[in-house]
Amino acid sequence: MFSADLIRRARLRAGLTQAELGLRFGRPPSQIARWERGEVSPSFETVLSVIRACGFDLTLGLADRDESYVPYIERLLDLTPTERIEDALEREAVFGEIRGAA
Amino acid sequence: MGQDVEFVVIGAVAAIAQGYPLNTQDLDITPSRDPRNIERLATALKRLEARLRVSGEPDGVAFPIEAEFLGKVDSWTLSTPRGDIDLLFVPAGTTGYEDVKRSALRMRLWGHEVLVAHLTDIIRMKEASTRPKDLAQLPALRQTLEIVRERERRQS
Repeated sequence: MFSADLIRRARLRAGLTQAELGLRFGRPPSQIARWERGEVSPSFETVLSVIRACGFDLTLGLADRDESYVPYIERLLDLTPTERIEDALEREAVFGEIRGAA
Repeated sequence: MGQDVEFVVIGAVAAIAQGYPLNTQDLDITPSRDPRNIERLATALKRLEARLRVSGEPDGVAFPIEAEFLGKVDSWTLSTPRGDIDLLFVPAGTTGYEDVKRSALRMRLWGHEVLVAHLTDIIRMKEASTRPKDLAQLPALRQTLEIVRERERRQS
């Protein structure tokens, strides 16, 4: 879904419909829709070309993989949306106390 | 907000509701710019005793909460006795309410049905922002989306 999300974000940020992007890129809108739904994964080169057709560029570089958030995200996803926000508010209150004491 | 105001929750609160692991101090929303909605929004903000949030003024600054005035400005940073709230009619990288509403998730928060911007749209807004604070949130947002997508794949 990485390329699907990326193509959709670029298209919407450019304010284009799937038909308009298809016209710019020389593909039918149904092809754009399949990419955005993740039904078909385009090649990296195609993703890059689609993003450029939207008027953007993709900047890439290598970085160390940081998975330190993963256990927190996994824990939060087991809660309801309300519980997730309450959890964040509690953490923020604790940080506020620490900031106040510092 | 009561008053049947049409809005989408965006920003950190929307991301937190979807599993984003960091904190926030305010609520960001994108209201509809429909004139009737702006009237309802003005009524709700009066009831919330909203004031302009200004640095150096801990209690905020009073301002005329009039619909005509409210709808003409793209963003407002407000404080209320119940917390800070930012109104962003056209968040960076979007064309406003209808754009953000398209993929918004309908969530139940404290018993109320609320529209919450999808993580992909929150990432779109942060990517389009020029503020370092917004850009710094991107790695955790992308990681949250990755894990949410992985869970969706496992469940389908």
